[in-house]
Amino acid sequence: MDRISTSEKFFNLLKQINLGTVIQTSVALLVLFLVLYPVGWLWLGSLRTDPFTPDYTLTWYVKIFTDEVLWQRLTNTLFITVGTGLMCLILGVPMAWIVARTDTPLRRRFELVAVVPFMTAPLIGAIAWINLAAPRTGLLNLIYRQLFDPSLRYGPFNVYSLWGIIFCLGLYYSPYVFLFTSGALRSMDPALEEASRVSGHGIFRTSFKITLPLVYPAITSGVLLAMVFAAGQFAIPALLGTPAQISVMTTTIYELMNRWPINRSLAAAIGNLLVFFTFLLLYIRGKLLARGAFTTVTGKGYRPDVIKLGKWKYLTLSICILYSIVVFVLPMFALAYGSLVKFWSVKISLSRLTFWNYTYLFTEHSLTYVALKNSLLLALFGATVCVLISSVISFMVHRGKSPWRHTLEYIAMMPVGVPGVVFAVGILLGWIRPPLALYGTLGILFVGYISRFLPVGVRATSSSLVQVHPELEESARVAGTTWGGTLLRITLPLIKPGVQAGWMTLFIIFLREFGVSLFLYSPGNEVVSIMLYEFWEDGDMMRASAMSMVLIAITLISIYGMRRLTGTDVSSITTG
Amino acid sequence: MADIRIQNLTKTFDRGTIKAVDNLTITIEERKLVALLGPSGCGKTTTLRCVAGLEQQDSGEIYFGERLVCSPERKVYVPPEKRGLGMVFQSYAIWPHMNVFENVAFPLRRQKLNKDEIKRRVMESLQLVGLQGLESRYPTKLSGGQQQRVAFARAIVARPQALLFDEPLSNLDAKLREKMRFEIVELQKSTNITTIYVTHDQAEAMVISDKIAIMNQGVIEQIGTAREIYERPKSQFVAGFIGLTNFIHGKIASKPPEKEEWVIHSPALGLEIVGRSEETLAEGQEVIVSIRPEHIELFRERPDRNFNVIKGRVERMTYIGEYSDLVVKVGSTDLRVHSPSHLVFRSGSHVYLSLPPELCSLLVH
Repeated sequence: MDRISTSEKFFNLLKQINLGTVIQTSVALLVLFLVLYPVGWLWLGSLRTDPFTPDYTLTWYVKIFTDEVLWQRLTNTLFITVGTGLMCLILGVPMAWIVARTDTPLRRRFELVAVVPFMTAPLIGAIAWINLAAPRTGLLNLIYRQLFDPSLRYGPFNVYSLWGIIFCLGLYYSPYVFLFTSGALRSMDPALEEASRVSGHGIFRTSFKITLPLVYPAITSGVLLAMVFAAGQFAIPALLGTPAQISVMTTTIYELMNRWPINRSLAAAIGNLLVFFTFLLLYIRGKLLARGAFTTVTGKGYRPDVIKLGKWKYLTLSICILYSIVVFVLPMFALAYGSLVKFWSVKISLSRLTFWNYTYLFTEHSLTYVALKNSLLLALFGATVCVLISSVISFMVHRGKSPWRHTLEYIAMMPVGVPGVVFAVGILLGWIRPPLALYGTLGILFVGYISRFLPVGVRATSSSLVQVHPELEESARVAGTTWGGTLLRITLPLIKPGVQAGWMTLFIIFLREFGVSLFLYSPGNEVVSIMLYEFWEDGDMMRASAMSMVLIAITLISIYGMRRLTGTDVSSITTG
Repeated sequence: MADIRIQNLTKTFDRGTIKAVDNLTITIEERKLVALLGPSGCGKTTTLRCVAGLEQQDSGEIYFGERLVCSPERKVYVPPEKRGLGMVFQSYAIWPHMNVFENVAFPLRRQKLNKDEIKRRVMESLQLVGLQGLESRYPTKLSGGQQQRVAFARAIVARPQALLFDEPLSNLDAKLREKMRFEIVELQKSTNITTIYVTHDQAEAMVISDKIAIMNQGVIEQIGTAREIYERPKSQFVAGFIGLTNFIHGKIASKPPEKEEWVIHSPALGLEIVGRSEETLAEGQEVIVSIRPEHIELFRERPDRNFNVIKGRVERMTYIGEYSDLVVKVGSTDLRVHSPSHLVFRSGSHVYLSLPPELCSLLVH
């Protein structure tokens, strides 16, 4: 009967706008901007002769495939990626089987070892392995030569090689395969294997015909993820490859951005190609997971059959101990030793240990406090802001009704496949000129961290929100609580553990972040990883080791403190 | 075919702190189906898994016919794959990476059979469970009932010495479960394979089995046909576990001339009733009379019977449909009575109950 006037319509619209909608909309727009803006600059930059001149060309893409040197670096990346995948497979699957399915003594303890690489950083791992296996001065080489062949001057181990790079990357990323596979082995219905046994097949045939095919999706998923990370890793190929003049795509991007002749457009083009490669791997992973979707993971708590190994358990125990030594004991020893000697001598001696390096760091080196302050500030505020944004995104994706929510999720998760150095190029191009001239301030690191690691936060908050059944919220609404009250008193308390774990994970990542930082820092805005890198550039492995020890100590203290405060479990912290 | 003999089987968990099976002895006759029935945690599944070889007992022996398959004392342990068994698991355990044909053919792969023979045997099994035409389907595309049938086909395809069922129907919905019961009976009768069937569902056990073994706390309380177990329970546990029953406490007063019949004085009812027991009981011995609600007859007027007629007062009457469920107060005891639903008794009215002596089972503590 009566038509609603235009002004009334407008008024009704206004009434619908409340604080919740305003927050959600602005966060969504912010996320779109944070992720798509640098990605857009990457494309724009790579298609121009110079990123900031509107003069379009395909030259740089052609150059990658025609320039012999670049082509060589491309194949290096490919070789390293495949090699790392294989190494993770060789290390991770047997370890998973031993830990999940055999009666090897102390097997649960060895699963904790798998978390160690996540606690340290690739940069620290590279420093540790230089201490251990640099061809002339590495501790392992020194010990070997002293014991077996004093006439040798080099080797036998050489970490400055493609194999050295693959070895370090493999150690660092093998936990993905290890933990994915052991999880799948544990959550598998033991009746599937028992049915095979009863139908006449022995342990080995059952393992190969039933068990292995069933955990195959978990294994490939872990291996492909490790390959994605290996392809985009910067610290390990930079520290181990440079002395041997081995370059890969990520280190080439760094050179092109920082050393004469600077060519940011070519860097962006190589970055885009690398992103194409990592997205291809992620796509294959998604396809395999979807096809092999025989859900062996039922969420039921099974007590899987443990194979009694008899005396073979000493062999598996030795394998576990060896893995722990290589992953944990040797690197830690090498860092500790390196940090406690004043000069790196060819003769190993424990009698001349000194805290001199630490004293230097905290009394003479002015950069130490600047870097520590910057890193801690970035970690504290970065993790907090990132978790807040992530919570809103997760809420919109899993509780919202907007048809765009899946697009939003996809975009928020996109940086997973964009290596840190590549993303940093996009950030740099986007935030270097007015009106968004953040370069030269700590702000650009802040923006870079948050946008690059948004997926870590979204994954943590989403996975805990998914576990909260909407009925828990609905019953609060029916009981007379408002939308906001429900959020505050029901939803947030329930997802708190996940949010805390996400915060902790981000805090640790930001504390030691390197790939993004190296591109975005400027004098005065150094962070801890930059300090490590500068020591390494000066060839000062002693102070690099000492600073690594400090960083590890801060990480452990933070984890311990967080656990005491909130009860967040260490095992819930796994990072990329 | 062979019988399965389990002798003095004992199995403990957690370093002997939990006794799952306690000195259990039972023989499953050739070609028969015996159900192990009991509440969860009674040791029935553990017993089955020992027979399968998936668990090793601490002591005791298991024979298939004359073949000793496991005896810790004699250091004999035949692994599951060498026992020649077929087994159906509660979760079906259909391998999700193999299609129906491959699943069913898998037990034959160990035997040196040619391709045509394997195909013939698989088809035969699938026909038997009514799954012909679904050979190339993958398990994720099958319904629960179909998966169940694949599990049956896979269990019988290698013509096993014995079939083992571990609560195979507990994941199906009620309608399908009822249908599958009869199919299992048919399958077992047509293949004639000695079978052990573990379940906690008494109706299922009654439909399926030649004999039921009621288990409780690791021991067998009673073995018998469904009728024997229901009408002549030998222990308070069996009487209480199977169906509803009334327990009346009393003492043996005397022995009438009839075989297996005894007169019991019940202080709670304030009178004497007659019940049956095969055991020799002493005068003054404490016993419990177990009588099923549907075995008690109700009358408005005192019926012309010599004994076991009791006067009571209707406390409550509930119309169920198939019958009426009444609570009748006799002396200081309430008795549950199921009477035909066309009879209507008002609450507070007086009734006469007749307890057939042959259905009043005497249980000794």
